[in-house]
Amino acid sequence: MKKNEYLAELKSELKKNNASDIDDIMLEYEQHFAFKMADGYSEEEIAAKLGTPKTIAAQFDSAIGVGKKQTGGGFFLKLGLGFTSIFEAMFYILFLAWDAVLAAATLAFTTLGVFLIGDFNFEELIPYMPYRGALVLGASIIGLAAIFGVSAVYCFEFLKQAIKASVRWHKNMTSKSALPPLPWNPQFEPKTRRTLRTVLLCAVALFGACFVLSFIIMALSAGTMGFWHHWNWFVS
Amino acid sequence: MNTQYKKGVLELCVLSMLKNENRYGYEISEYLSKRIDIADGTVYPILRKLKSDGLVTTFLSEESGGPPRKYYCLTELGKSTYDTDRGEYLEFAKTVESMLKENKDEKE
Repeated sequence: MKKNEYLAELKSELKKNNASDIDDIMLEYEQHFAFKMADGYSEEEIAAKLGTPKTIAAQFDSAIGVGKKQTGGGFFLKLGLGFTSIFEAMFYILFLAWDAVLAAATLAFTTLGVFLIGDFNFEELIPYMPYRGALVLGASIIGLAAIFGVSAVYCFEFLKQAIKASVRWHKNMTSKSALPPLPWNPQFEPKTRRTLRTVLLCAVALFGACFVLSFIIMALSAGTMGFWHHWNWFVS
Repeated sequence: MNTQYKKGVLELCVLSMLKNENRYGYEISEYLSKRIDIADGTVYPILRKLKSDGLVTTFLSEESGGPPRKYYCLTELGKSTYDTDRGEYLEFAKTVESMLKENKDEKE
């Protein structure tokens, strides 16, 4: 069997068995092929030595422990589950609203940051400040926007995974054959997770540094720590 | 030999390999399949089970000129489990060995 054939078959067998985190499993076997091929083995040889996709996939199934449950059903169980899902739905809606808030904040801060850096002002909404200060403050606001952006992405992924896991849990409670439970925390690809973390760290650093710097610049150019009084920011 | 039976012992072998050193999946698979008669692919399900039992954790490490490798390392729970299981296994193996040898001596 060729490498691609083997991997495709393994993947479909794993899906059939409802193994969790299939991409992670596939990564190991892809690497196995890569290492073996670097050692000069042919694709057919490697595949033969691995064992058939079916037997391998079956071992993963038992590896995560597919619990065969006794009986599902019972009026009170269903009633309880029904109430649980009402509360869950409320939580999901609230959480979705929260995520919308995060997304809106991201959008708002991005706009404000761009306006400050680009020296635009719409209907005199942004009070007076020297351009040097606005530039640095804009950079810090962009950092803040990125923090909210990453949070929004993370929360959305969290909500998605929570709904998936909860659906699986409900199914397992009522059906006779139990599928392995799904993890509740967000499942990012390793690469995406690394990117998100890097972006977040840079954003926090950018926000912190530029915010302090812009405060200093403004205080110096206004000649007072309370520069907002000096420029009458909050007086209409 | 029965695969199901081997699997428990293989878990112990994997833990012993990780006792002093972090290793990546392929390294473990190669080492074991050279010494014990198992299909190359059997080691990965074992690694995964150890991970879901909380005995090992994984981390990715970028290597020069290659894809990132997934390394496995023992958790505190893994270390203590290994120590107790190792003792139990050695005791068990000693008993089994002496029983089997007795049996052979009788036949001769």
